Amino acid sequence: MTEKDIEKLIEKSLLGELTLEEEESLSRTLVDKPDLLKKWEDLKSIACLAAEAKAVEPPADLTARVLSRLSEAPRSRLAAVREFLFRPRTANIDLVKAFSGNVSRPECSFYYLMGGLYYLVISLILMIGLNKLDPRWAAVTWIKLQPCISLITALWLGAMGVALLRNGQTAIRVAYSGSLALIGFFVLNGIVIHLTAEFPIALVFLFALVGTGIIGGLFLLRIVYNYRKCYAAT
Amino acid sequence: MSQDKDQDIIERVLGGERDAYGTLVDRYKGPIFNLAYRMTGSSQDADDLTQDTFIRAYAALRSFKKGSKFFTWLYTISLNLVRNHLKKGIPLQTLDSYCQVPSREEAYNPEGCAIRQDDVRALNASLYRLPEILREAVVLRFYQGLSFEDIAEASGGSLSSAKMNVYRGLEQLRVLMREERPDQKTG
Repeated sequence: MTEKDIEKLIEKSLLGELTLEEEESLSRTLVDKPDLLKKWEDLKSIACLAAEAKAVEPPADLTARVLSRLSEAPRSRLAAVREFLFRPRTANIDLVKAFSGNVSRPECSFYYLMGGLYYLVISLILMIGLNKLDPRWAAVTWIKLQPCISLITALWLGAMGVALLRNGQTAIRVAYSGSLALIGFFVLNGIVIHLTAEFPIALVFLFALVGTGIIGGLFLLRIVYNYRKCYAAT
Repeated sequence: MSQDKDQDIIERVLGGERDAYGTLVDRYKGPIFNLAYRMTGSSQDADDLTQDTFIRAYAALRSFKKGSKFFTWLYTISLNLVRNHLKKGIPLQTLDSYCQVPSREEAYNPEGCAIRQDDVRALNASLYRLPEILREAVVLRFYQGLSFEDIAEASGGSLSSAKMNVYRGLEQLRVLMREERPDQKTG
């Protein structure tokens, strides 16, 4: 066995890749090679010394310090939005309970978001449907504005839902006064439609457009009122 | 450490349970702190680097590939931070002696203990004279007990280069330790 072969076996031995046969062969060979035997023993000794080194204990409060710094973790805006939208949330939806007393933050937000979704659908229906109606309808400016009004309402309710989810006192105040304003606006909207349209309008249409808005607004007003009480109690 | 358990915790953290991350920190702070400590020789730097490792891992948790080993991923982050830290050219310190406590057998043999302590001191001093890449390999293999596959994955190299660096590291340590203790031959 050449010196190079022995060196190779020593390397394999240190890396823990020596077979039993090779190990026996190496031990036999090294008897006649004191320099290489010394090297082998030195390297094994260093490896043992390092492996036996006592581990250093990290400071006891390290975990607490890491957790307190988590908010500093640099995150992209996209990641923050994605986390906000897709983070699972628990919301027990109980309409009766919400109307009569306790409303949780996610639940209150949920009703506003649902209201927004409802008006988004209404605005789409109006955008598509108005063109196919009697030309007399399309001539009335205020009626032409109804899809936009519904879309703005949808956006406003959606924004309120998100703001309430973030649990701000200001969001509660804005949602409360905004719901009141919404009811007022729907009453006004019904009156303006009635006055500007110079042709008979079926009561069912007026109720669908205005009545649902008023009922929905009253419902949201009650919900946010109850949530405000719960928020103040905490 | 169970890989499945790590994955469960990661999913909880990604689901918004920020405090669950504390379990992962508790589980791996020891190895990460020790890695940084052996690489820098300063407990203060090790403390900062360990914190930064966990903060960075938290920020990038969404990019962690399901099914891969969390601790090797953590080691990769830690090694990158350590490499950047060492690039700043801060002079390395020698490890404090408090991390080396003689074993029970040594305690009954003062002479043997003294020899061993001298070896440990020589090893510590020599470790910081090793080139970074070799020190990294030696620390991961012997101080941290990682497999060559894990060393390759954590350091971003191949399996053969991981093995080569470990062996070269040992060889160089032998030479350096002889310089540290010219009176005693290594071992």
